[in-house]
Amino acid sequence: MKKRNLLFPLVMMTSLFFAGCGPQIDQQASSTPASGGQQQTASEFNVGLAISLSGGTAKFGEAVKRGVELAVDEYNAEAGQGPKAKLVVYDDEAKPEKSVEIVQRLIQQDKVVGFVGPANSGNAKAHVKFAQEAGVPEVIPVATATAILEPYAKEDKNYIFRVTPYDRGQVETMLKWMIEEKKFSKIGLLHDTTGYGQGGKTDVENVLKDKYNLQLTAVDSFQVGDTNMESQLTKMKAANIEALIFYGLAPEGAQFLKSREKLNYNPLTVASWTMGDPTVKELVGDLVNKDVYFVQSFTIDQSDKAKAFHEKVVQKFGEDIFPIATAQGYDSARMILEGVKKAGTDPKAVRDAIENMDGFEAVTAAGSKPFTKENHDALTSENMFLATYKDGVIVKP
Amino acid sequence: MKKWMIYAAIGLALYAVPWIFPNSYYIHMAQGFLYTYIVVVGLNFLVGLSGQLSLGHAGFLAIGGYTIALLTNAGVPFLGGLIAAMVACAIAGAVVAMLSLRAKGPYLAMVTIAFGLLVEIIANRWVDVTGGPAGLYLSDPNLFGFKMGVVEYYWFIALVTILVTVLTDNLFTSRIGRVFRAIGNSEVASATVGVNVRNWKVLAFAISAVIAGIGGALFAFQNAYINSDSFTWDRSILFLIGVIVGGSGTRLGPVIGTVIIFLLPQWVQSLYDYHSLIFGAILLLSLILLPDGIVGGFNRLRHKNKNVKQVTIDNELQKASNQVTWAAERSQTVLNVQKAVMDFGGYRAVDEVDFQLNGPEVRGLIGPNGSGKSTTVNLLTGVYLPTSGNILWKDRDVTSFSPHQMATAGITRTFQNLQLFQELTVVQNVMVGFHLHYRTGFVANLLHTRGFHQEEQRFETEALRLLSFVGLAEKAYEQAGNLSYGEQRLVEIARAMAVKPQLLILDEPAAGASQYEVEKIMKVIRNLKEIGISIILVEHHMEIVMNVCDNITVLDFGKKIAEGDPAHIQNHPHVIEAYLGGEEVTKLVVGK
Amino acid sequence: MLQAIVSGLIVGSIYAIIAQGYYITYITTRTMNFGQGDFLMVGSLLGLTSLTTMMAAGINPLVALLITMIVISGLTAILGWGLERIAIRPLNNNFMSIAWILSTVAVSMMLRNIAMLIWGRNVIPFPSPFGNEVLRFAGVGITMHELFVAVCAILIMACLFIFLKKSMLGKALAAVAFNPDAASLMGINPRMMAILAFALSSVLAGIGGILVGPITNTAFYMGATLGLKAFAAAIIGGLDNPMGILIGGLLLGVIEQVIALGDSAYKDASAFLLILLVLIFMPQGLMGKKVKEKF
Repeated sequence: MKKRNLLFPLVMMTSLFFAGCGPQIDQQASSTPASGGQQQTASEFNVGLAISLSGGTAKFGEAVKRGVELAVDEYNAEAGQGPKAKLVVYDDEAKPEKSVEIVQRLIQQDKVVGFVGPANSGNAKAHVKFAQEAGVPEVIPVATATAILEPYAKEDKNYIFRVTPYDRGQVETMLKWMIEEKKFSKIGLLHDTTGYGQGGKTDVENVLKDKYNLQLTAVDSFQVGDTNMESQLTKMKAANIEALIFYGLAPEGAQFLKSREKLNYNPLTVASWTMGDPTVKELVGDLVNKDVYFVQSFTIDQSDKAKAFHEKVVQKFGEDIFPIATAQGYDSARMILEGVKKAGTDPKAVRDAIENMDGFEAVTAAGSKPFTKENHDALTSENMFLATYKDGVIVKP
Repeated sequence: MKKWMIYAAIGLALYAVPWIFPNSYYIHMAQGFLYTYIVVVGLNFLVGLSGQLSLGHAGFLAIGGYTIALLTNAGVPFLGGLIAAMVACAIAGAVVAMLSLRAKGPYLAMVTIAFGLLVEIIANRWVDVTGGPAGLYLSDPNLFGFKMGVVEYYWFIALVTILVTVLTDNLFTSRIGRVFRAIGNSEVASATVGVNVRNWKVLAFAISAVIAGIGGALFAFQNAYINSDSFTWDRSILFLIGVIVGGSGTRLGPVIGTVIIFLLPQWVQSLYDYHSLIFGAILLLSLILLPDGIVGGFNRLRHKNKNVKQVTIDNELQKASNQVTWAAERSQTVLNVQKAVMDFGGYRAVDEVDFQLNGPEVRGLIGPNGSGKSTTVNLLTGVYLPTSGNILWKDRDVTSFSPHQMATAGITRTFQNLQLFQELTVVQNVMVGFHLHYRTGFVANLLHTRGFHQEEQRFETEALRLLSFVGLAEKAYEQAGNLSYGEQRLVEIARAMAVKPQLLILDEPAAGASQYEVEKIMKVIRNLKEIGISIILVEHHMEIVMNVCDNITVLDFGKKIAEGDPAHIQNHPHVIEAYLGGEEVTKLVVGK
Repeated sequence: MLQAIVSGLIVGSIYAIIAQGYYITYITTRTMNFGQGDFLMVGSLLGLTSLTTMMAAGINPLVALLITMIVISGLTAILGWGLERIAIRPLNNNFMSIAWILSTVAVSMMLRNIAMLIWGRNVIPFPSPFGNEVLRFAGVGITMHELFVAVCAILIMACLFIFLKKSMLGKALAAVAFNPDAASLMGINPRMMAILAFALSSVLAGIGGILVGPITNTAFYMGATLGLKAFAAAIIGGLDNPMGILIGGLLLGVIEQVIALGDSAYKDASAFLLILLVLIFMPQGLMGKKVKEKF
């Protein structure tokens, strides 16, 4: 029985002793063979994609994956004798802890030069720390929460970039139009309870307060998978709002439009970019034409490049399931690949190349010099505009 | 002490991981593996040991995680937060258990599902506190001012893992674990040996929740970030899969189960289009091919070739086979049943039955099938609450006592439909019978103190003596479920004797017993009578009844129709009529 | 308020249809299909494919709908039979076992994955054969499809009750539940009954899928929530009482909508709080049978 009493202090002591000169992790990074991961050689380097391919945001993942695949294929076609890019894809299942796992795996096992992802803002928040600390650039194609880029914004070298209309920018675009042009003052908000809707809600409240010193007249929420939004709309009607901001994903956007029709109550609606998802139109048909506005930074026909890109996607995959997400995925991957072209396969150098990139030809509305040291959002409120459906086609109002 | 060598070896192996895999991804995975394992251990404790079910364990993970997150963000030290998380989970677990006490089967499943989902919803919607899906950032874990990096935090998790493993192992092999297993096998039998089933179930839930909460707290600090997307229903299911596929109720099961639910998905990670197909197929196959789980199946194979521990019958045991005594107060055992009525819906099973026991005697309770004998036994042992009437025991009103209170008061029973703890060995069955006589507390059992070992030793010897008395000493270490029907009845009697009751109710002990066993039973009854124990014997076997009973009470259609000594009963016309039918038959037989 | 109640009744009737599936298998085998929601998803997506194919071929939408319902019933019945064969029977379920929970979950995981591969990750519109027209009665808007759901629900419930209480086969199902040994002595094959129960249960899920498709959205992940809500409805009503389940479903549907009028954020929570409340006071559900165990 005496052994037991000795054992634990002993283990504790040794562990504390060794803690001082503990194991050196992640040191001989390149010499460790990546047994679980994908091998890479001098003629090949890995690019990662960590995004949800199952769960409720799977569609974003699928769309982005198509764009990234396209970008990688094009890069390899042009690479000639140079090193080829290999795409490593993992599914984060829309769960933050899973997201951290696969990002760690991409960084440590697959030694990616950079990676694209994720779709969920919560997942991004969970894993950005690991990308930043390992010094591997990450380009976010979908996750829009304003706060994602904040933790490392003041760092000397911020490894996190984004090519998607971030929430605050979207909200500013919406409110500018609603308040400055339309002179509305009684505004309602309807948001979903996922990170997306709740993040949007925070931004709407902040912008209203900071910029216009206003408050929302009515706020309500709905859940993913709700079968109707009648109760919420009834309350909006009772609150007598002039216009409604809708912050949610496409399927629920469709439910919202259906419920509007059912109640025969059609408040002017301004929504985030997801309302422009073709799924909404597929789901509700003509209902999209009734006073629905939404933020866009990309339309298929906004430029020749965009049009050509859309045709390429259709040609390769049969259909363009979510044009804007695919375009953003494509641009995100291309930024990393352009960085590799300029700076080689050292992730740190790739980061510098992305930040200082010039002459980038985007299919989204990103500028030719998308980032500065201070700004890692390629799409700012200047690139965003309000669009609406007219006879089933997205146009500027 | 081989056991401690194994723990030490595991500890050293865990300690060495950062040198073997000097790669933060592997260390991250090791952290994830260990905290998942901890949660599975906790759930295994609940499902495998006490036979309850939880489809909402992610809820406890969340409570543990958020408690420590909120407290450390408010300035509480890391360890303080960890302890608070455990306390919070203990409370939550107890509450869930109390909510689900009356619910059984799918209803219990639903209570736990509802709990898990409610926690998820609250975590998601109570944004001001939990941060909702936007989540909470935490500072790095800090142990007495020493900031833990990835490796140090891994070591910390490993240390906690070892502690949790050692302590749960201790519980598994202590009387606590035995009682949980007994409850899982038969709640009513546990209650009749004096186990307060309700409290113990709450305890099981609370322990399981605490362990899950530790897992949750460790999880929260792994990424120094948590949000509400981590605590979904499918995660609860995943933990359950870990328990069942690993082998529920086994001690090694959680390790294997965690390999399946945590490492397996990593191997198929690149096949992102097919991973739930692969995972589902593996799960289904393992459930079909290995119904007891991987470790359970392995154990079964091993047991086939392994001989069970043999008992050497020494002089003392030999002596015990003839006579057992215990310090029963030779008090007057006075039972007074007054106008007991039991209604089931419209059917009156027991109708105003009165009877008294005055001092030690063997009272037969007989009657045709459906006459209300078993219902009367259920009333006397607190299994049923009488619709009306009173039961007085030593002048105390025990009418509304529950079975375990009856056992504490000195009344226990055996069952007509055997209620053995099938998964326990024979001697363990009897040791559970000593429940009310154990003196060591929870902590002693948790830590396996010297007192614990002595007590286990003492009751094991006593149990062997009892088994020797009923003639089953050689089978003491066999699984109770493997014994023959008659032998199982004898084990039940030995178990009931272990309670050291003053009134023992034997419900058809001779049903299905061989002649040898019938003699054993008669010997037991005589012996008990000798040391001053009252017995109520429900029996169809007239040879026994007429031979051992001092008095006999006869029931028919729920009513008492006769009472008296055997000779009186044998010739009582109502009794004969009840057994044989109408008056004509009576006349024919009795010849009057 | 009235609108909320009407909408709640419609959704609730779908919960009830799915939940009857739990009832049928529970009474015959003491097991349930925890993947009922994913069977619904399969029914919905198959129904969608069949319906759009037929409508594209120019068949009258109503005829197409009728044929679809028959076809889907057949297909989901086969699925239910398969489930019983691979996930229920091999497990040798005893009363304590919970393996069936996991085996049916395993099947549902596989189904979900397969559906994702076939139908993609996108949300697919399920056009109602009745169009999107909204009828209005006293200020309450109701779509043609919702009316259709209500009529179907009544028909299905009526057929089910008649089948269970009046027909030989239905009585046989209940007999197996009551005492399998006695039933098999009476010439009822408990195995056949188990298959029948699972087939029926799956058919109910499949039909539920077709009905619910145009109301919710159809996607590979649509089943989980609906399956859970239906299970909740069954538990609230009492698993062994079909009438209770009907009431449980409607109650759940209405309460959800009415609570949403107050604060929609806690709409989901209300359903689960309701369950806890019911089970604290009535551990067998609102109308479940109280069983006194015999010892």
